[in-house]
Amino acid sequence: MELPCYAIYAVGKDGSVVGLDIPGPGDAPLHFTVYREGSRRAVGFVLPQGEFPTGADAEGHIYTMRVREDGLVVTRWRWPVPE
Amino acid sequence: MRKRTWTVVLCLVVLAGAVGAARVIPGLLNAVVEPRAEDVSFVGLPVEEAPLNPVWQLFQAWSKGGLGGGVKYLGMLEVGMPVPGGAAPPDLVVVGPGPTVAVEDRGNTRLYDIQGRFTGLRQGRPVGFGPDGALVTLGGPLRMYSASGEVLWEREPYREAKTILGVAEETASELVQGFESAFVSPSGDVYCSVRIERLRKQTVLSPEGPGITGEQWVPVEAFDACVVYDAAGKLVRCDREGIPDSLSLPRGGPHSELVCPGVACTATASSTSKRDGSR
Repeated sequence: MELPCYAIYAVGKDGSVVGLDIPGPGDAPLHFTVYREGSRRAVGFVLPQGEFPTGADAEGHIYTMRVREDGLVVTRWRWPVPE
Repeated sequence: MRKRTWTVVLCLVVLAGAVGAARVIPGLLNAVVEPRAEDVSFVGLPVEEAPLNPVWQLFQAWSKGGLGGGVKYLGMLEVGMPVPGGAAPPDLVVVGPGPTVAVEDRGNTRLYDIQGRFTGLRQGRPVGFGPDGALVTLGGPLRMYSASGEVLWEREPYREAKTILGVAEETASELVQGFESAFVSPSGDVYCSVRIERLRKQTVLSPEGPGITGEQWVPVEAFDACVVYDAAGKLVRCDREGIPDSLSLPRGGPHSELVCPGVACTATASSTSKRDGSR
């Protein structure tokens, strides 16, 4: 399989593959691209500023953490899937 | 007895026939699929940007004394960086099945449920979750805890690597453990990379002045050993090579991946060695 990404971050049971694109300089937000078997389209997304990925599951979720002055926020997100 | 012999002979004949037929008629036993370029290459596809949809959020307030008590987190200038006057924010957060959120707290692991309730403390920093929600931690020994907190197994990768790889002790040198890292593969195997260094005392010029010499421990040999255990804690592999680059993205198990905040998820933490083997 040939994927134009820096690293494979997660794989979903639905055949989607989340690739991490080459990180930009400095604090540029991380950009991910989702590919899916059988689809000739791809969907990209960026993590909101301050969110750092901490995990993923095969059900199509990635987890991020954000450290705030008053505490820690962990968020579960559903990644977009190409049609 | 005779009946059993005939049964075995019959089975062999059927098996030989099937294999022979499969050679003559490809695809009889297994469908032979010719991969097409569009099935295996995703290069050059049009990419549409889309938003991420949040499903839930867990907020865990720092307690009065910090996340685990003791040292207060005073906020941060940059993720993963120490804060003047306070302690560094947690280095590692791992999300496991449940979901369970495992947060490193000064070398140990604090577990929270999705409501943000503290559910348990485990020794060692979180490495990842294995099958059935078992948690792997590292710090001292490599441990696997069951979801209920029982220690399922513990191993000592540095000691085992030294023994298996035949790293000899010498009177003139000292073997020390350097940086140690680990991750849980999606299949539940636990990969541990451990730096083994040999130090030798050497006479060096002292910066205090010309002609003044002193003795200093200098590394004369160093390599990364990769030790792999299966989910039951059985040693699977031990090599003189570190974790291959292709696996260098730290993984926290079937349900999660580890990252080190501050370096995002693109690299493992610095491989700076320390004499005491801590991070």
